[in-house]
Amino acid sequence: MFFNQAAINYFLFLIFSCLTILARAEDQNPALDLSVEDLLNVQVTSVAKKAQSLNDAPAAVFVISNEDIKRSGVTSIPDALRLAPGLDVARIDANQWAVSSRGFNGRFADKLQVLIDGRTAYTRSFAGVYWENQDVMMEDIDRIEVIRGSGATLWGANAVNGVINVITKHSAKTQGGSLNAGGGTFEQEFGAARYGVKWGEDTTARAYVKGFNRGDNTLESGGNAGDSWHKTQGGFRLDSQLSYQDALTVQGDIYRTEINQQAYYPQLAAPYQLNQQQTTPDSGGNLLSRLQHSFSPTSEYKLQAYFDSYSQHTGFVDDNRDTLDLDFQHRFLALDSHEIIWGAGYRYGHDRIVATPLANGQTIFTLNPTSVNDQLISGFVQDEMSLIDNRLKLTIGSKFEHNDYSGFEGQPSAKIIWSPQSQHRLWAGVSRAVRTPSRGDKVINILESVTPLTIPPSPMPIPLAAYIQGNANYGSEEVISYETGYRTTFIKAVSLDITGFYNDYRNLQYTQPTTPNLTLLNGSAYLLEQVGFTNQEHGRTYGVEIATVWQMLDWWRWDFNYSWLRTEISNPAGVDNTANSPQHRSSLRGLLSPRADIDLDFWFRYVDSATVESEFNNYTIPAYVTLDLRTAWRPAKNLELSLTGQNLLQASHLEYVAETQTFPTAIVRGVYGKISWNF
Amino acid sequence: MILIRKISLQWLLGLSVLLAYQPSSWAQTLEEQTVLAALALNIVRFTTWPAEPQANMKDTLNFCVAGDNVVQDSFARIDHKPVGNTSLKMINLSRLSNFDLCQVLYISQVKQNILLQVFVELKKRPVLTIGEGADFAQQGGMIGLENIDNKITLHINLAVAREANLNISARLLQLAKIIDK
Repeated sequence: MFFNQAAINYFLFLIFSCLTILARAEDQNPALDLSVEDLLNVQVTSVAKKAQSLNDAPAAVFVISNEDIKRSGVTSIPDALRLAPGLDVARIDANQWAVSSRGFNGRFADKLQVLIDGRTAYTRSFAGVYWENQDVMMEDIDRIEVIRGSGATLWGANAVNGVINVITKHSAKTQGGSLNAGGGTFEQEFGAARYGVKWGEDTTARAYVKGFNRGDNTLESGGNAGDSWHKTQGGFRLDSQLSYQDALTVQGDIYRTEINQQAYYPQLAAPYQLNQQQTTPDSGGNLLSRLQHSFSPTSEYKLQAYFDSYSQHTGFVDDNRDTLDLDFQHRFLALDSHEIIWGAGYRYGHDRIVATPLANGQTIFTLNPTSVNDQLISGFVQDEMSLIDNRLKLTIGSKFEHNDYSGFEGQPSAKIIWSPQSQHRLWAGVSRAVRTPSRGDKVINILESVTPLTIPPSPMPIPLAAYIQGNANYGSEEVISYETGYRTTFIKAVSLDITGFYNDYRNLQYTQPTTPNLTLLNGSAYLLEQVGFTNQEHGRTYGVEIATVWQMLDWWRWDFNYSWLRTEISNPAGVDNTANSPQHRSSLRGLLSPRADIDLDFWFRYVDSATVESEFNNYTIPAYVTLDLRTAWRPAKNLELSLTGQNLLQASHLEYVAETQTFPTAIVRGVYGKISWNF
Repeated sequence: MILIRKISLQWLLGLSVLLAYQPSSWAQTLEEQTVLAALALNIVRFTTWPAEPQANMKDTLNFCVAGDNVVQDSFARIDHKPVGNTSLKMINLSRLSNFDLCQVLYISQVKQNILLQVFVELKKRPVLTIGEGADFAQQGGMIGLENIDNKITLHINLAVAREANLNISARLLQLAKIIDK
């Protein structure tokens, strides 16, 4: 810990000394004194753009660029999300993540909507995201838009606390070849190859294939966590300008993973816990098509259809799901000052969720029925009104949807943004969003834990078997969210984005314990406890998120984020502090390019302690500081060699403990080298 | 472990040393948006609009900008600059409409399908369109400003300008890559 303190002190000193370097004097725009010939010969730079542009959306938006992803050295989508403020990203082990916005984190976090090129990655099975199965070729990501706060009006139910849009590049921007390969300690070996072509005047396309082997972490209790995995994924994207009015995109991906896991499960017979080393295969794929038709610069519609199929396996259950989704959106200008967007959507889902026997031959899980077909019908309308041109905009709208789990839902919002000058933006909003019930919420039956109890005078322990029981009447969870924010670039080359929010939650999930009954099971006596889902938990969260960018020198940029979060949840049993996300999180990045062919990057992250509720224990995750370093050298224009060190400050550290199955796993330090060649 | 800590500390110390230097390769650079605004001003000065009936004569040349705050701020610096016997007037467009106001339209970062619609709407109208990238002039814009290895290259689509009865001076054409289709 001494070093952590020393490192923090050192960095405070470094920041201080940087502050003493005066920002370069405001130039008098010498460009205006130059002739056209000179202007065409002068060297130009746009490095400060990132530190100067202000988002015009009345929401807490943060954009992670392709360059940010590359220079941070991250190798997965969830790890890239650590670049954004307000998000709680924790690695459970090599192949599982807990990702949430504004609290309520977990492996089964269920209040965040995630879209990859317009396709939802959120599954109805547990109303969350299997992060290990969400991947794209990282080099071809255009940007990741992170919207904290409710985005339900546009993106629908489950965008309760945030929306993540992963957007890959247009295929016209990925022409030619790209070969990327590397390896190291934790990122043992990886590679990604892409080739982009142009067919005729109006059509471009690319195809890619990628794969990796990731290594094992260490158990918190010592020893190898046995959580290594490997994945192979391929895909394509085709973009065609069919006419001057119509653009068509067709894209698809297919993947297969093999995941190793040392897992624990409850078992009715002594020793009441089964540990097994398992290897489970996951696979999936998708095909998406999108047609954009433009009537005029201010009027266009978009028609999108996709099919997505996945098969996800853990030791006790196989979750198979097919989704067909149709989406239509139309945007137009009315009465000169109203931009109207409206749309409609239909989603059809088919699932098959079946128990698989554990190594002891038993099953601990049933979902009855094992297979259902479900539908979602939705519509939305939003009006963005210019109250004062270029200065004041009011946006109101609502989503209306009907689903097979909670029936009709309305999710309205009202947001206003004021731009008193080009360097200042002030915004505020209020919105309602719901988290609709998952398949599991309604009909799950799972043996959660078996605990031997010794009840005097009997010397023999009696096992207490707790079953979680779905509730057919389980309803939607609801939030009313109040937000306000300020963005500015009042100092040259510095931008500041600050957001405050207050979320009022109702009908959150509470697992209600019941009095155990003495029962005979297979000839042995058990105390049987049924734990049912109810909507009896309420609470609020509030917090502040700050994101700053400072282009200190042409070749040195600082990115600093800080988020503060308070969670206050209560249920019929009292105040619930068992699963609180970290109260303080901050991230400090330095991006240096001392020469045009050399990048040096460092990234400190501080995460406050958190509490986690897991099957047989409640954990407090200690606060931690991590440091990632990356250095890159481009010996030729299209060739880059880089070396990245991740989590360098400790041999390993705990970030999160999964709610079930996975032993507490500490994330290990890793170093990898990479070579990228574009041709 | 301790070794790694030491190495990272040394790395950090190395960074502080770097602070003291301002590498010379960055010395003679100007901000891209500032250069684009200065170029746009010059382009306007080298362009002649068709003569308007006396009644419609305006005392300013309206320069419309569709772009984010960085673009708007850069172009604010050429507001009121003299052009011939009139002066520029900046108009920031919050929507891609009301092009009747504009003699010049500078468009930054608009999706391709929308851009094509802008060109359709402005076809044969005497509005000088300026934008970014090589494709801008290829696809029906008049003047594209492309950043190639940190220098700006001019692309001029002569056919589109001619259709709109705009006359671009030969001196400017000499410096540009000409598209004539």
